[in-house]
Amino acid sequence: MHELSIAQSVLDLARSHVPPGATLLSIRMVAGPMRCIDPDCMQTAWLGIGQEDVTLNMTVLPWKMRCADCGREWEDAELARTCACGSSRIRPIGGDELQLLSIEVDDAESERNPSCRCRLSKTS
Amino acid sequence: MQVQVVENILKLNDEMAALNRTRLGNAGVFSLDLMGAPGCGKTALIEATLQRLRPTLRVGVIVGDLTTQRDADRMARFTDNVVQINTGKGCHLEAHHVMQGLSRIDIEHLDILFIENVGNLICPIGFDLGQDAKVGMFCTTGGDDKAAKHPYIVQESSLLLLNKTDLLPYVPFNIELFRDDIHRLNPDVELMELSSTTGEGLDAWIEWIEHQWMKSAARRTYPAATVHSCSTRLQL
Repeated sequence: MHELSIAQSVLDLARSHVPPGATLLSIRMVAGPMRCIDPDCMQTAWLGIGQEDVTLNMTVLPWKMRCADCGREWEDAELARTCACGSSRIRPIGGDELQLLSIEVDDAESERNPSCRCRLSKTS
Repeated sequence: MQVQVVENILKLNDEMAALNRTRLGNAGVFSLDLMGAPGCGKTALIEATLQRLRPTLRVGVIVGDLTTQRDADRMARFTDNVVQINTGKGCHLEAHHVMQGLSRIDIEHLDILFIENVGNLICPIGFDLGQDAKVGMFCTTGGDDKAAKHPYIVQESSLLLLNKTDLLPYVPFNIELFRDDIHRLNPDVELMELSSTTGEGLDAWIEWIEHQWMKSAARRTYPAATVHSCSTRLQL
């Protein structure tokens, strides 16, 4: 259940980018297949750290592979054991991505009252 | 309003790991993160290793478990430099755990540091601790499909171990299939087959550790008096 600590890390990083007075609404992140992040577990972890008001959008990337014999590169949901050329020398390309891409914030309150930062505490 | 970020989610962990790496590197310590499933023999291997490493080498251990001090108690029979980290609900060690462990070990008087991760083939892989090498461990009783099912540990390890080879005659383990899966996923990684119970294959493991330590020690700039003292102590 490494999803729990990754969820907390995503939240901490996202919060550091929320403008003063704004409210965090949603998060968009991407994870490579090698990270072994289960989307359902991630959503459970997200709720587990009290973020039911913030939408977490996670994209799990497909495997990218290259055949060491014929050089073909392709993507698939599963790591292939053989290439179309018959070779079994399949090498994964990347796959360890783990990035926060963007956040969506509601800054209506900060526009009404620029000195108000109280809404930040809502996501804590 | 959309705010573009595009940042590494584990940035904080990686920064702490970099601090650990700098501290260990400056002290000339070779550190390895031993990862494997519960029961694959990580603690038993470290026990056997502590007994076999040349007695002049000073070795420390940081060991992670959800709870109990049992592993630390086992290894304290062989070294005074043992720190048990209890992660509670945490299924892996993170860089801050190692930082905490390093604060309780005199690394200036250490040559090698073993970090025994929480028993888990998945979660520890993606977390840099500041170690020099990640070592992934499988065992014959775990099944010959574990490398194929856990590609990340095969990809990310500097060295892979297959433990409990003494049990090969008694368990359905196709070692050729296991080796093929590893080679397919990571053709560059070395696989050592050993048994920490019988000692089979341990010589190569000990040699690998000592070789890695010498490379780490060479990174450090020692005063001439220290070099002489170490050479004498290690009978080099």
